[in-house]
Amino acid sequence: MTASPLAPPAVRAKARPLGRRADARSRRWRWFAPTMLVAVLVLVVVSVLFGDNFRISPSDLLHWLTGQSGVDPLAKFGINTRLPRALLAVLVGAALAVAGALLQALTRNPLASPDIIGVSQGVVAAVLVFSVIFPNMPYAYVDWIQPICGTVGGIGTAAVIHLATRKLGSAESTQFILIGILVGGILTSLSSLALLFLGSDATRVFGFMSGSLNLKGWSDLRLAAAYLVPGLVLLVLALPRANALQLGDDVALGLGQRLGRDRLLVLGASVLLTAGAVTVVGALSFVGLMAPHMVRRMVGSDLRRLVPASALMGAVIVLVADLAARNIQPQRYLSGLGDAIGFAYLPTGLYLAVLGVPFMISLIWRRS
Amino acid sequence: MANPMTQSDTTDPAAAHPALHARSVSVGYESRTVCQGIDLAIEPGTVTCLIGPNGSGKSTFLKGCARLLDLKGGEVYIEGTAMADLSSIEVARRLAVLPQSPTTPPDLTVRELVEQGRYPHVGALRMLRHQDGEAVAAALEATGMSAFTDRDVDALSGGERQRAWIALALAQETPTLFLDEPTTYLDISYQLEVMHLVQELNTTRGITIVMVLHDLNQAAAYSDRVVCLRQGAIVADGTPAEVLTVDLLRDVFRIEASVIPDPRSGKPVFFPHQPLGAEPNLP
Repeated sequence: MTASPLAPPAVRAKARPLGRRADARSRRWRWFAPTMLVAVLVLVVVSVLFGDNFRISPSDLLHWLTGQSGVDPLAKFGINTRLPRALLAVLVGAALAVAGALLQALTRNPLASPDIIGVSQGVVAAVLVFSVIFPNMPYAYVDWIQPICGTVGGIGTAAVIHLATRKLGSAESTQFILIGILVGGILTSLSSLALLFLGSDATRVFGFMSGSLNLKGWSDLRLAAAYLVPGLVLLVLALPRANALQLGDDVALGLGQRLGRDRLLVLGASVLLTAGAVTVVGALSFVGLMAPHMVRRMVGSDLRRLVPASALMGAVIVLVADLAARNIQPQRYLSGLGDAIGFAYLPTGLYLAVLGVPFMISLIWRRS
Repeated sequence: MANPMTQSDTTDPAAAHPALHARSVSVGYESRTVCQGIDLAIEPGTVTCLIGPNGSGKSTFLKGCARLLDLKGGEVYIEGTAMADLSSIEVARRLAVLPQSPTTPPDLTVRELVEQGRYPHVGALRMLRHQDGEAVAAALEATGMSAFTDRDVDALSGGERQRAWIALALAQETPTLFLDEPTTYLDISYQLEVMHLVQELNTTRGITIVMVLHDLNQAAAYSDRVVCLRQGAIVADGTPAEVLTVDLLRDVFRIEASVIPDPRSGKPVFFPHQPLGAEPNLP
């Protein structure tokens, strides 16, 4: 060996401006994680304290939390309706954001998210078709059959997309997403058809179609939490595999992955998290797409940081959207619209779209 | 000068086996067989280059030997063991492969990329923890990337990026390394930087190197053995001086060229004149 090949790069490194440094990034993560945790906590408390009907005093909340007697019964009622709703917002926001981060790594495509590849639409379509076939089922049955139905719909959709792309003999991400969009489109048509059949009953499911936390209580929170247990187990198995998969199929294979199985595991984790969230609150859009993008520049693409960061960001996004849904009611100021909608709350998903679209546009502008 | 014992866990009986032995390997895509019945044995501690015109099947053959493509026939032995008898993760502990122009996700640092090389050794679950042990540090050191660990891979120059990817393969701590066109799309200085690094890995660590190269002069300059493929079959195999001849350039690459020895190294160097059959373009 003559000159060491290692000498010139050090010289070149000085000549070029330094890139974003990751030690800065891990420092950022060190304040980002606790800050976001505090933000989630504060937003949950604010969600409990503020609602359009009445405010709950912080002392009442504190008394309720510490189990003291003498809490104003009205406040108690308020807490019992708002707290599960806020916690549910945390769960579904985190689940959808993590599902999006996993799918973006799996497909190596920044566009991937559960509502774009059709999984959310699968859950919605299954639930709507179920309502059409069994219109008069007692609520006691609906409460547990409907979630099963939705989950099967979501998993079935993912299975169809998986099989279709596997049969094509390619895991090309564009094909995966295109087929997902096609399947999603077909399922949306199916949902529209179901709406026609539902007739005047359709108003009941409008909230579900765009995703809504209205009227959600402790039982819904328990249902969502029940999905989290298998969802988290799958996530732990899927995360390191997705981390290698995002380097490309050939690299992942070279590292000793079994592509078919490992890809299915990652897809399965994201589908289960999506199905759990969408079955309970409906097809909340944008969270899965938006949350990972909001944190990616901050914490990087390594999923070991990106996934928890996305989860926190997803929780914050849905909490903010739901806070808006419960406190900003345009129908009160627009009398014409108010007559049509009455005093019902608008669905959370609507506010999510209102918040999400400008954000995504600004993100695209900043990138280019 | 090569020291084969630095990297491998090979014991004496295993050392008798070739690092890699392809026996009548056929490989291709879907309905098309690209390589038909190729036999090739790679001696440990050597640098072997696969060359050939476009579509000759050199990359396909390399991918087949690295189990990135399923074999249509034949068998590949790695250190004497049939690859079919090994799990993918066991293969990954013996053979690292760097595919052609891999794409890095945005916002991923060199360290995070290289850490993934530990996957076959620690398994998926323990990859949840950060892997910054000796192997990763040594891989970064060997590729000269120690000063770049916290930089984003997509913010690096082409040569640095390729060195980061080689570091990932090194972190696998395998006795054999496959490289599929490691210099494609790189400036000439980066090409030489990468080739020098590859040569150094071979001489100082005794890593067996098999690579596909497009540049015939580089193939001749940096390898012990050159294997030339055409239409999925080996047409020439030997030292650079034996393979890189005027006849081979005419028959296989379809160009008229002169071949002279490099005055410094004695390795053959070729000068292209014109495509076969064209009028000479002399002043």
